[in-house]
Amino acid sequence: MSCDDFEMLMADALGGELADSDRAQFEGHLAFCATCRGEYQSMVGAVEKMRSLPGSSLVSEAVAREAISIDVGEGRGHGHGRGNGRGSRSGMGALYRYAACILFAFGAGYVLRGEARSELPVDVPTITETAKPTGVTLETALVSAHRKKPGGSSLSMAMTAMFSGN
Amino acid sequence: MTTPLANFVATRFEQHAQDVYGWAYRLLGRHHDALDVVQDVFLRWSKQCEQEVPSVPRGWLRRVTVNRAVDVVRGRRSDRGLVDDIAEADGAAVADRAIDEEALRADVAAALNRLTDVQRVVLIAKVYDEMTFAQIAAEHGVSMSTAKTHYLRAVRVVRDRLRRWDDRDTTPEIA
Repeated sequence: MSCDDFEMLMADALGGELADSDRAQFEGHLAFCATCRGEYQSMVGAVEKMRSLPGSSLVSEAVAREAISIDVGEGRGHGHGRGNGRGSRSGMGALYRYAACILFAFGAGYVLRGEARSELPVDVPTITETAKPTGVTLETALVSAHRKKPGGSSLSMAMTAMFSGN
Repeated sequence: MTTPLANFVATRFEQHAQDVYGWAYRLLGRHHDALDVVQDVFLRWSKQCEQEVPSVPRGWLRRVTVNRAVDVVRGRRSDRGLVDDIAEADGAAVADRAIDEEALRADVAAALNRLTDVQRVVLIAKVYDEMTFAQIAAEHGVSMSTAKTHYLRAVRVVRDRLRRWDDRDTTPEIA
């Protein structure tokens, strides 16, 4: 096997998809060619380093399904506490509170921009009675809120930014 | 009572929220930053879907999430969050590990920033989602050999960027 042929198999090996029929040839070349061996080992090391970064603990499907039971019609907005240490269940709760915030903000944004559809929840238009839209879109307001407080933007900051026009 | 838009966003959130959060958290390492990325991504998703629903939602979400997470890492100017994390940690060893992880994330993000969009999503799909080349090729509309080429190039860029970490870990084995 040439080094070029080895290259073709290296992606398979790095990706954990090396066919049994190719393994003997691959390992034979690996033992024979120090250059390819060094190349391969360094790339395996890179992949391992990437995988060493801790992933999310919010992976429990059962917990997710349970937490999914949000009422999108009510659109309650909640912030989230930092480092409360209550594990994956509270983490999914925060994630879905974010979803509720997004839904609420979208509903409010549509109403404030005069683009509300007739089937919007009846409780959303009450916001328009006191709101003074400035033409700032929800997206720009969220970006502004995020810039003001990176890592801690919340619905209230976004709504404040949208109403104040910056 | 819900709107069609609200229902649509909620449905998509239900299907993909954990994936989006997982990709973001892996690259950012901070719960709140990951949640912010989730919010940004779904706002973009909603806007995108008003025009045209992506044919491969998960692929679209992965690409946008990783791009956004890389932007966040690049934009970090202070380590206040890291300091907070370390303050909560119990002991110097934990603090050292947190600092190492943060530095490694920054290096990985810097490497990802040097990749093309396709190389980036192929790498993430392979390394973190453990998809097969066939699945990746189908998701992104490329051939398997192209997917493999993108993967090799992406790993090489990451490898070059992470060389300074070489003396910190064990000898790799054949996969």
